[in-house]
Amino acid sequence: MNRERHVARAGIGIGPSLCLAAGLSLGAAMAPSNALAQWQPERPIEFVIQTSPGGGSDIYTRLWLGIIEKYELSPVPLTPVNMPGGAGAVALTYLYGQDGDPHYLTPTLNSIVTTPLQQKLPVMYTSEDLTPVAMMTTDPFLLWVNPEKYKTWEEFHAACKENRLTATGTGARQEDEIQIGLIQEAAGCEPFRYVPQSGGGVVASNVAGGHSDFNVNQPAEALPHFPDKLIPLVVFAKDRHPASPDTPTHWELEIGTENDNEYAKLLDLETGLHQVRGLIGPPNMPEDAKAWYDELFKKVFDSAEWQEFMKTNGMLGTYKGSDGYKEFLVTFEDNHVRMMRDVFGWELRDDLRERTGG
Amino acid sequence: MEAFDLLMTGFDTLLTPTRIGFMMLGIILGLLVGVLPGVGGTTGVAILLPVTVFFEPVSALVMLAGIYWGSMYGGLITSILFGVPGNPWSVAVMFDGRPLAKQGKAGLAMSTGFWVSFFGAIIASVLFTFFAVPFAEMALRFGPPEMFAVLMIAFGTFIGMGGSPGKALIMIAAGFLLSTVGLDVVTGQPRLTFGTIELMRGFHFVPITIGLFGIGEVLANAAERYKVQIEDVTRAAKLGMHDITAGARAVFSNIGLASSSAVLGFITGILPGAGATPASFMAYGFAQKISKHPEKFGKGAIEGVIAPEAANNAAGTGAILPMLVLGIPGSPTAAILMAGVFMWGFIPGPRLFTEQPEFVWSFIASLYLANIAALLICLTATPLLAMMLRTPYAIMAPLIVVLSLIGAYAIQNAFLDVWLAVIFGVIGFILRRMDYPLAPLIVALVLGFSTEEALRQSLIMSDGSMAIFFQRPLSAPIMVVALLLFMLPLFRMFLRRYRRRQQASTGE
Repeated sequence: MNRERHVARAGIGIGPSLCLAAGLSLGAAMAPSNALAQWQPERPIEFVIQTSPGGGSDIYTRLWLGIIEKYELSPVPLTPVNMPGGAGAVALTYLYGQDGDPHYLTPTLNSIVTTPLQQKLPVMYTSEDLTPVAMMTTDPFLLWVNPEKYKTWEEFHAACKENRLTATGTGARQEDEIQIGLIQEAAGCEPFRYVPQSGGGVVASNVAGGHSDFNVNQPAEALPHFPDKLIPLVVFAKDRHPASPDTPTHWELEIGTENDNEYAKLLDLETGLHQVRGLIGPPNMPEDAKAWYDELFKKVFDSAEWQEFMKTNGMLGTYKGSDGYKEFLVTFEDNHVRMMRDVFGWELRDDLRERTGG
Repeated sequence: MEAFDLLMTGFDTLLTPTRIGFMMLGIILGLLVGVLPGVGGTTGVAILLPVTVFFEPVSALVMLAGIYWGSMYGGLITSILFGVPGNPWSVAVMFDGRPLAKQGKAGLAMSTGFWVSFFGAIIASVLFTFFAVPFAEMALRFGPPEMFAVLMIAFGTFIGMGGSPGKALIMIAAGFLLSTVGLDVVTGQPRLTFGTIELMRGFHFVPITIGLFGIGEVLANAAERYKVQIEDVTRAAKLGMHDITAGARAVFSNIGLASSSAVLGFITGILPGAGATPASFMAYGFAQKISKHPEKFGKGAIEGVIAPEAANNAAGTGAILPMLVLGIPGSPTAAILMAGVFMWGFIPGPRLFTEQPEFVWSFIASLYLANIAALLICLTATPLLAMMLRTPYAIMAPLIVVLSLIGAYAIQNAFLDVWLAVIFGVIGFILRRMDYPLAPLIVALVLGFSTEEALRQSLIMSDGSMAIFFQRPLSAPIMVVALLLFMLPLFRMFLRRYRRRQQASTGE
């Protein structure tokens, strides 16, 4: 991957040898001064990306890398390596193989939870079998429709009780399909038809073009079509979304509030199933390495660029370090098992470990 | 002429030394990554994306777009010279470009390719400039059934292509079979992976193409004891500018084919998720269908270079359009550029045109300038590139193998892909010997996934009824055309039999 890096460096007008020299001297300069974190990376850190270039987590990763380079936050280069395949299966397995070596990281999508629960990978529960490193953002889900079809949740709700509606989303048996199934259960709709797509942009255009009735999505992909071809009807969070203050929350609309808020909690941003983006490392990552990464990614999170990017994309920023992210993931996984296996009746891997409290 | 005025303001904004400098830098980088197999324009743009976050948006966009355009030109070089495609969309040009090179016409093939790439890109840029919004609206009307119908047309054009139809059918089936390996589109469950995680990523068509063509050909040449190389040396000897003018003449004498391929490519590029690769195959198929001498295709027909190159460059331009206008990326590269647009603080969509006219129109202006620059650079380099073929084959062959294996690895960073390239190299060698056509296998492998996806999506929408393809206003006519294309060889066969019978009966 060195070659790719050199191309990148050449792009900003710094020769590869110069950059290498700069990297080395910087590393030497930083090592003694940084007494707080005992661990320092000794060689380039490999970012194992689970999609092809241009996929969701790829884009986030490259932005983080840009920020790290700009502020010279790392003494060693961080190199992105794309390992697409099997909805994250290939990347997770590779990461699992780097036991104890902190020079590997994988940016996460929700498939780090959904894929190992369904496929027989060496990883089963990411929170236990790998090392959660940092959580960078949560994307709130909103329900989007074409305004020519429905203008309010009430209209939508009436229609979905009468007929089977067609939903679309990214991937098969992944977060979008889970969220859509959850809405069906919570609102008591006729079973939705689910049309899986392989790319995010196509999902929005299928609803905007009228080929599907609705989708659930974070605001970014829908914004280009807003407000002529796509409008949000519901935001699945405690509070209204700053980017769309007129859209009611599912709590206001009392979606899934029966049985002691059973489904409403699962739909909610904080306690439920949402798109979460963060970073994980190989199993048994040493504590001081976790601390080093914690410091690094907190700085990335606080950078003006990342804050600005989250704002433009309508994401909600919550940073969690290694322990906080792990705690979050445990609940997240348990919720997934419950929905996927117990409510939807999907077949999970047959060797699934039972967890207490799940 | 509102668009024209806006375009002029675009040129004004663009014409600063910094912006032009970044654009040129992008083009040169693009040409380089385009030449390296496996590291296509998509990867090139992705690598530089983080760097551009801190650029001024216009420079950032024209530089990244420059990489994209550059790679569209650069990809055909290794396809023609070595039979190792530099980009997925440079596979189709290889079918005839490589045979031309073997006949000592590498310079002609490349310069024709460059000229027609330029021609296709400029046609697409003009369409982009004046009809951006209506074309983007059209893209929205394409749902899964329409996509399926379009893909059926693509297959229709490949029916009855060269050689025995039975063998072609076997190769198509093999391509489909390979494309089904991996995760199921609808259930997300693994298929034909035999319980391994490695196979869950499925078969990417680039390593397989590199194996079948690049390595397969090295083996075939080795078996023919350097015969090819001797021919190459004697014929590649005459270098000079005349190949460049001959290339331009070849495009001019096929101007109808070039224009229709460009328009076809542009429209395919606009469709969400289609992009330049299917466009190049469709254009190649069409060129062969309408040709007066279809039997020459695959053996060095210049039309086989013109059609796919015009189409893929037009499609590359077209793919950017729905991204800017609607926020739907028409190709993976467009998806990365869209991420860039977000990172630079804009939201793609109709409002971008009204709120950020300078940004949009300087980008459109850069389409013209970038293509002129890319063409000039490429044409200057053509004689030098063609000279590479004068290198003794004993030196060339190992280089091609190394290049092929690196390219196979680079596409997904998977070692399995290196093995695939080797295995399919041997398979390609055997298939060649037995006279099986390789193109149908590649086409089925490339389009197989999208076809299955579109078919199954459509059937979910219709609760399993095939009627959906004929009930919708757009998919119905496209589907009918596709069916006619499938029937064409049958009609021809019956016609021939009928005539023969008539001749026989009058003869009696």
